[in-house]
Amino acid sequence: MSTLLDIRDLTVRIDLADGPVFPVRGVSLALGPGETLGLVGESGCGKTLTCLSVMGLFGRRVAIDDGEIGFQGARLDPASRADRSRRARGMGMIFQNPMTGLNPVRTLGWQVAEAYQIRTGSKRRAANARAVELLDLVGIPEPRRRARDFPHQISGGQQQRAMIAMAIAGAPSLLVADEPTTALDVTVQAQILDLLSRLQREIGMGMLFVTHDLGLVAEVADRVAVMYAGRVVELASAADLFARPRHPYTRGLLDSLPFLDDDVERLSPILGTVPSLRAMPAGCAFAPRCPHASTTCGRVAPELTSLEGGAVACHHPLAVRTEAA
Amino acid sequence: MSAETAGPTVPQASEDTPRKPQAGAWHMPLLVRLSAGLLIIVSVVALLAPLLAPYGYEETDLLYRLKAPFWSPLSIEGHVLGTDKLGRDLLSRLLIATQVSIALALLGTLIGAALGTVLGVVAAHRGGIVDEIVMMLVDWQAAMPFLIIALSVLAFLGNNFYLFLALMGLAGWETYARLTRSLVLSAREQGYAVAVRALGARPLRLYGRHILPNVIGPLIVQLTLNFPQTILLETSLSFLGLGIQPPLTSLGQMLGEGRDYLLTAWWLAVLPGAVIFFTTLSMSLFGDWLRTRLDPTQR
Repeated sequence: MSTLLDIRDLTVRIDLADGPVFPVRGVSLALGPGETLGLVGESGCGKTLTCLSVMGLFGRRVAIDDGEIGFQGARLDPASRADRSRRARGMGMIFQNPMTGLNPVRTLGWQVAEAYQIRTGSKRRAANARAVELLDLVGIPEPRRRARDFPHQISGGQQQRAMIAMAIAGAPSLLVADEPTTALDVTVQAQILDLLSRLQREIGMGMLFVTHDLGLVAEVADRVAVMYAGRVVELASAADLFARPRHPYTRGLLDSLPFLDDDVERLSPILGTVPSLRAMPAGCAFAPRCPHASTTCGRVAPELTSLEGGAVACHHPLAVRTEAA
Repeated sequence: MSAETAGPTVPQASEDTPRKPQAGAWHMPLLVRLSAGLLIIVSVVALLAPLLAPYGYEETDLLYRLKAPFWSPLSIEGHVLGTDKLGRDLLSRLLIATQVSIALALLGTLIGAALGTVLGVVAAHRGGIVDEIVMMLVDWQAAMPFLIIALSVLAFLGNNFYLFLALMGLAGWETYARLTRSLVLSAREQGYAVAVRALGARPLRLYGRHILPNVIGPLIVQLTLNFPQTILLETSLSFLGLGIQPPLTSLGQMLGEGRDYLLTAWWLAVLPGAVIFFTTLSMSLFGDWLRTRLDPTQR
């Protein structure tokens, strides 16, 4: 079986005081071992909730309403204790904000050692030694001394490195990276991306890389899934997605990016706003903002259908850019 | 818990690293030193009172009643702090009373803190109906003057040491529960708590090793605030005759007995009162200092 992670028809429900909303609606994604899948979309499109579903990290009022998540060829049952530990051993997650992601009253070495200990069930002494190695592996200088530091004593970039050390302790086969570089400045961002791809090669992890930054995704991902309003609207290899976007939303996103080699007076934004979770259109969620929308789009929600190596959820997929222009 | 939290900092302080705020991390201001010194003396007294006392605390000598302490010309040899209305040695009684009161207040405070903290964590963790019930109990206890509860329990069930101790423990639990619940509720949404859950950590590990060490500061402050209150509750109940029963004594009971002689032998009330005052003050000062030490971000 070559699929590492297999998300099928995932729907997430949040129970609010005035009734449930569904911020993720029927998302299906697959990720092979060692592969990097980029997940892009704007704020609130369900990227993070998809990650949290994979990790099984829900607070109160949030639940998987429908669909299932397969990991290493077997379905994950959220209620089963064995599956919970299978998930904990096989998956690591990097969070968006390293400043809050580390426990302020524990030393870095202690936290990394704990992560290793929980995953592998090893002894404390071995875990402590391994923690120093892991801090070294993620490029923290003087790891032996830094291991005794508290999180507030090191910089944001180093904190994110420490978080990565925690996430990869015990060599999980899947790494979920939820906007790992959003809180960092650009030079540090590049270093962290290099680090992630190096670790991925060395450990052979699959990676689910979530971001709202299209440039990052182009650099990191093998394949890219674009999400809009809780659905995957387009899935393609990174090269294809940027060369010939098939969904009008993807095209809109790319058009609104500035390129250094194009001399453009004004960028063209996507007009309108994302529909509210309370008032999702019956048909395609993007239809109200779409320049190509027809009456069908307003009534029938398009399914994600395969198209020339990728997949797109649109009634009127765009032709290849050269023809359209 | 506190020893473990403090643990990793010790090697850092002794190491001559260039990060200078570390150097004075365990520096004590004068007032805190005095408080610590007094608390040590009180602890020694609480532990060794029967050995230190020159007389038995219940030993009466009716020929030498209400004698004055050493500074008065009327003092007599052998009774450094004088004697009370039954000729019992005041110093011996003060030592034993300190032992009894400190033991009661300490155990009571710890019982209350443990009970409240555990219930607060459970309420925050489980939510829903469990949370509702715990918070209902908290409101009920907060609305009811505890002295009345204590009085009625002692009046109906009679007085024995363990019942009294249980009441001391119940006295302050609701503030811990409320405090812990709110602290845990916000701490468990922090990134590090989510990260630990992502590792598959059990609740016991999550709360015991990550969240509680983070919220322990306010709880310690609450402990130092609650400790004097517990002493005062013990004092009030003993003063009213429902607490520690003679011949056993406590600071509150001595205060109550001494009240009748304020004009003629003021030291009978003032000395136990001073012990209460300085012990509780030292506890507050030391607790506040300790709180800042336990928080690595304030170092």
